[in-house]
Amino acid sequence: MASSVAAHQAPALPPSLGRRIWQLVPGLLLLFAVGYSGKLIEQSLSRYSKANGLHWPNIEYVLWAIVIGLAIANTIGLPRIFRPGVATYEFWLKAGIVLLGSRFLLGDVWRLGGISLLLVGIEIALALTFMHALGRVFRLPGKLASLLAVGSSICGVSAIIAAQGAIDADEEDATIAIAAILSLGALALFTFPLIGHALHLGDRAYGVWAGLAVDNTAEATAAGAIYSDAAGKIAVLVKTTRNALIGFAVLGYAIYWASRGQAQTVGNKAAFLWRKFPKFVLGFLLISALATFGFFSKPQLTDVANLSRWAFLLTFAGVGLRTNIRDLRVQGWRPFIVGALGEIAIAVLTLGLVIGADRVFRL
Amino acid sequence: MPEDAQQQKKPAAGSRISLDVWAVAISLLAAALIRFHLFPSVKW
Repeated sequence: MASSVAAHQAPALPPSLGRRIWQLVPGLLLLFAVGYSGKLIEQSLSRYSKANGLHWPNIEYVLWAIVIGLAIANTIGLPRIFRPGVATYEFWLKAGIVLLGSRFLLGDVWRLGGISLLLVGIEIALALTFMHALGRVFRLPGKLASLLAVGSSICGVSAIIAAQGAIDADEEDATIAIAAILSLGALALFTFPLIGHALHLGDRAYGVWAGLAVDNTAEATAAGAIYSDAAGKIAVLVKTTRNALIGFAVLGYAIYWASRGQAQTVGNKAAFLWRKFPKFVLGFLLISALATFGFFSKPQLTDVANLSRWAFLLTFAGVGLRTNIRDLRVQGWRPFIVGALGEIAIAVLTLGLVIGADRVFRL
Repeated sequence: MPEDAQQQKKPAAGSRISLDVWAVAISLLAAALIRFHLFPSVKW
């Protein structure tokens, strides 16, 4: 009896490393199956249309993988056994971005990154101002408006999580802001490529637009890759530039809310910036530098780039599998309307910026 | 709470950074293995 009580009271031990890795296997296999099915559908359709002389537009595997994932997640649902492995999609996204560095020469990174930095600076200023004005019109709580603003201007979910801790925002506000940003990101996946094609945007201009206007990194990468491989590459570079600024925006909000006595003051600002800096950006730059200075042979560069493609294939499957359309109803209509109006305005403004920049800098 | 939000909100700031570091470390390792011919050719 005593031993059974002791057994009940003993704290549960965390699972061993081997067990945790084993728990990832079903979800990883599902990510691969969904992503690879998308690739097979793209190849089969392409072969069929060529063999029959049809002129169908090529639909990238990315869209098929996302649609299959969405169908699974929103019909039968994602069984618990698959969840740990599917949650690794964020790891594959970051690994894919780091390895994608091999497809950029440092000179391209500085040039496009510099133009992106200018556009990102304008986009952030516009987005922050607009989202706060909308928040006031719809009488959202101040910190919820701040979270929506930082999520839509910088880096989606990561920025909201970083800002929530820094400005002592409620868990519920952060959840609502994350749900709004994720659902709007899912809509962007389908609307952005259609608008891009309707306006006959080139791959580079479209990639810059997707990287500037789509909030979450996974969705921005997917929205670019649905358009074309080249557009996906540029979207990642521009989005990475946006991500690199996450610390500055969060620091600004932390100082603002601390000055109003509603958040803790920030001590060492340099340490704060370093903590919030997304480290995968450094990995991307390092691989790009190695590629630029001839560390890899041409076939090896192809291998690294292909490895990046496989990592993104797992990411895109995860984007579909983790998007639950029912979450739209959880958040209430006001934050969603503010988010949606803000996103539409940001999309239109950044489209204007990109078209202007394309004329000036010849993107 | 949306499931994705739960998954992303669970870890503290430190563990989010470590996901980045893991991604960088494993990507660099894979690139090094490719460079020194210790990784099979990757087809797409």
